[in-house]
Amino acid sequence: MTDRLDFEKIAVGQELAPIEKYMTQEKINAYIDAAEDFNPIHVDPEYAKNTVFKSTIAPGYQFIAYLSELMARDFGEKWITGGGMELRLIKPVFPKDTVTVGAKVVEKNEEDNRTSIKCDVWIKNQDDKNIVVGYTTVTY
Amino acid sequence: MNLSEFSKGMAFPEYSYTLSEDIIRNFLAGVEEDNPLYTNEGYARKSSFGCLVVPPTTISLYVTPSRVLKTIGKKTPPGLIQAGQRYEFLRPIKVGDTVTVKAVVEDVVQKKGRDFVTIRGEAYNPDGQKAAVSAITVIWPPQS
Repeated sequence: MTDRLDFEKIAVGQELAPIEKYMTQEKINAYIDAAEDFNPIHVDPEYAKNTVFKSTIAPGYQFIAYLSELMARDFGEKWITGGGMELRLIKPVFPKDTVTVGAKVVEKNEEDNRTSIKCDVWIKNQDDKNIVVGYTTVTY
Repeated sequence: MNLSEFSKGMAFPEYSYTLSEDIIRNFLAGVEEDNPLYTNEGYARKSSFGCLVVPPTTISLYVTPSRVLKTIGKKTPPGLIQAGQRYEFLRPIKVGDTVTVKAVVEDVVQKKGRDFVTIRGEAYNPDGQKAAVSAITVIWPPQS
């Protein structure tokens, strides 16, 4: 974990340090055990072989959590008491995919002792294709 | 459950969910996260929360189409795929807390020949305060 951002110095255009993740079937299974959401497209290779993806895929909310990890790393408690996200999922994540999670500050507003920061965020796969795009907000 | 059984604004019975240590451990293994706010008791005690809290996206463990439909005795069809996600995080939820969830169908739309259903769930902490909101959009598989 890196040091938190210096909130005074956060500036529009600044990129947050990216995170890289490697997906495995074991991690999918651990997540599904916690969610108890046994959709066969995530956990049943035989079923998944006959789908359009020809393979199991990670549940969306599993890799979306990587964005929360990045935001919590840099904004700490503020993310938990004033965070927001809006995302579109574009492509699946397969076991053995490596994804990169990034964010860039696009707005910073300070009004009435409240600061709000908006970031464009993304998750890309090893082919540099967008998996997830959207934005996050932090208000404190 | 068939798509035709959904309507915008449809509300589901409230349900509760306990964020046990075991569940959080599996979640953290699945997403490989080790933020000390969630994992280090000494660090968390000195935070503004004063104790370990759960990662905020754990709301996605219990605001799922399958758990929401279970409240009315229905099941999701296999092959549901997530297409969108919105979150609002308002208050910390402690490890071990039981939250109450109020869920509604926020939207049912067809785009480019696909059916999209958005289910929105609000999680309330044991003091009855809204702690987090999750709205998940899924592509509903074509009915056979």
